[in-house]
Amino acid sequence: MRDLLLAYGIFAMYYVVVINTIYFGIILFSFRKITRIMKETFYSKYDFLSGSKHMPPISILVPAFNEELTIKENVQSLLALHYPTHEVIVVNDGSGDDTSKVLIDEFRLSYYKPTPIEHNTVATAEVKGVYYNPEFPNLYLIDKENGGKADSLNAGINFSHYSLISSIDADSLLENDALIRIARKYMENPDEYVAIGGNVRIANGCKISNGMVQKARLPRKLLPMLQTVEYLKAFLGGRIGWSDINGLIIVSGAFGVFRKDYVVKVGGYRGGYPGEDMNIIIKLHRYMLDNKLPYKIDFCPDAVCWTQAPDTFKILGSQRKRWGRGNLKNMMEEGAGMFMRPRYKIMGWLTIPYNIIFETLSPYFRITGFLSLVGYSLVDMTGWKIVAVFMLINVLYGTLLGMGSLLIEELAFRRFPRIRDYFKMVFYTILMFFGYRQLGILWRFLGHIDFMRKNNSWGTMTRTSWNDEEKDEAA
Amino acid sequence: MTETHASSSIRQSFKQFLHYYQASNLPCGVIIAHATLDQPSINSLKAHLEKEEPATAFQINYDAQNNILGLLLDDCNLGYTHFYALHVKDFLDGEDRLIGEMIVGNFPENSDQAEQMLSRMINEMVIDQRNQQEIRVFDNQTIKKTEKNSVLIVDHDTSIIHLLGNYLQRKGYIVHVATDGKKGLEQYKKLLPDLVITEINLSGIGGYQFIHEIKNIDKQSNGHSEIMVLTNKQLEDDIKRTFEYGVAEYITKPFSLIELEARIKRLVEVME
Repeated sequence: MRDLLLAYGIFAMYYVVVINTIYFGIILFSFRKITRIMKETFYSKYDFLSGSKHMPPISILVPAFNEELTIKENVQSLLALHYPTHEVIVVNDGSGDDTSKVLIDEFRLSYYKPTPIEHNTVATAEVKGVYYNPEFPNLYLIDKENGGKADSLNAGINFSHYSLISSIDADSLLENDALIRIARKYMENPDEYVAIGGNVRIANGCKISNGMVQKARLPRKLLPMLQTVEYLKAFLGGRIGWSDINGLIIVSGAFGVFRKDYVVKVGGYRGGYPGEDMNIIIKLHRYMLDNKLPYKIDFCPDAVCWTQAPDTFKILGSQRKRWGRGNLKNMMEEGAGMFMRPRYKIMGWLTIPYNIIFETLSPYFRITGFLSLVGYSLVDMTGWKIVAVFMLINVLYGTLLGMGSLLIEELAFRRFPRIRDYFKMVFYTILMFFGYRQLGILWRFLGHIDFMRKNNSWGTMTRTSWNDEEKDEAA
Repeated sequence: MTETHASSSIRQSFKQFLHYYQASNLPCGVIIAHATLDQPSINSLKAHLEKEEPATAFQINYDAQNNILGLLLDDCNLGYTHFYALHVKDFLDGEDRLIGEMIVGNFPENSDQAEQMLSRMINEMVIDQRNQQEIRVFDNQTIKKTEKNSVLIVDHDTSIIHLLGNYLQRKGYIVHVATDGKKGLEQYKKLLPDLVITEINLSGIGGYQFIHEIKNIDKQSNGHSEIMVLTNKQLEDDIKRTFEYGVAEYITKPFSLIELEARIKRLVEVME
């Protein structure tokens, strides 16, 4: 029994080492790609491109559910994006608050009957009306019955006029040149790019006014700060590398640009479960590979979108449980069919297996492995050295990966230019392994339990007005 | 020059007098107050002032549309005008008629253009209606500048602002700058410049909204500023749309300073 516990514990430890090793490989790809990205972006003239006739028009879709506090500023800043031709389509998903009214009053919109659904579209909940004002010719407000975020995006797709769509969370702020940066990437190869994701950064702590981040600052609270370094690691260390081998499995729902025709071909966004942003990417991979079409799904780290991170355990927990639930659903629905199938290339051989074995199933291995090691230590106190060594390796390896991501940030972006910010990020990168990571794994596990119990609520997400945050900063 | 059409009855009725003072180089004081009055109360104000300061001749006019009371004092300096305004304020306070601020100005101490000074004072009162019930001396800085043409440059690109700002300053323009639409609008309300040079790609509020708001302010205050768009946007749709908004010029970047200056000259000097 004792040996069995030890053997399983060691197995779990190796499992963690393998995760980290794969991640290490991905980071190497990230480094390979970041040098290219730096050359491309440093020498591009985005100001000039933002007025060019040769940039494709983009429809920006903004699903909004109870966003009355932030929606006005966000729409204003979206309208002011530096881009040649874009339209902003706000989809009010049957909000219980004054989301619609705020916009109608601010922009003096008037009601129009919804146009009948044409072919080549996706079914959605009933659209009650469209609001528009010729004085703001690139703003539309769609008012519809509640149907969830995916449903709102689909309604936006049906209404949109342009062949590229961009999905944006109503609580995030795009940088002025974010859209033009992604579009430049897209124009490198308009035939093959089907989706390009933007970089998501945490706005807590930043100075915000006029719907724009004026000064980038690190958050002062614990949880947002941990999420800042976590996002840096996931986006810069992870997604750049995955995109380098065309194995990106997710384009963040907060900000991404898609080819509308392919999104419609794969049936639009899937409702009913969270994780629709990952779902659409897996479906796109699958569709393109099934039809043997050349394609690329890319990540554009210099196109930045700022978002509010949850700052309480309760809200963060409900977000992570939701992610866990969505991830499990996606893997069962889409991932299982692509697992280890040669025709799905990198997706089939690497991305999907990695996600199933090392992401979706990780709580089970980690929790049981941890328990068995604890059990073993209780039975035989002399074995603690092995346990300690493995734990140390785990932390050091993880820290190394975190540092790698930080290095990418410092090399290419340096959004937080103060020296003390750098040391703060290093400190939190290490701190992440003492409690926060474990909590994340536990939340994912609880998310799976929710899934099994068919608890399918969206959970709580409270918003604060950007302006309030500004006041806090001033105080 | 910022031309103001005489829509306010105060401007109409004082026009002749101001013209006379300026032509004969005699000093005069102007007091305007944001107040609600009716004919009997105007009469009693007149009586009150005649009793308090019998030596001073004055003209009075009330613009009921904008709720502005105007007083023109004969042959006095700024100090006395301000002193006189205290009597007016006493009366208005006593009757509880004052709803906003009072502005005092003097020719030639505040401006050497008497008529324009009055127009600007009224503009200021109409545009930013302050609630403090205080007496304020008209800021002569803005008026003195009217000898030269003033330009407001709004662009997010600081290198453009520096380049263009320095160039125009050397050419004798008064230059004001703003880096986003919101700040630009605040500056505009304060300065009412002769010319606005703006990018369409702005932050805070977009360029179209910025131009639209300027036109609204112009309409309210009967002012007029020329707007020149200097932008990265090369699309025909943008050009069409900006001209529909009433913009006078559309220049795309990269641009030539010589050409730009020539176009500016055409816009602001024709109006003198």
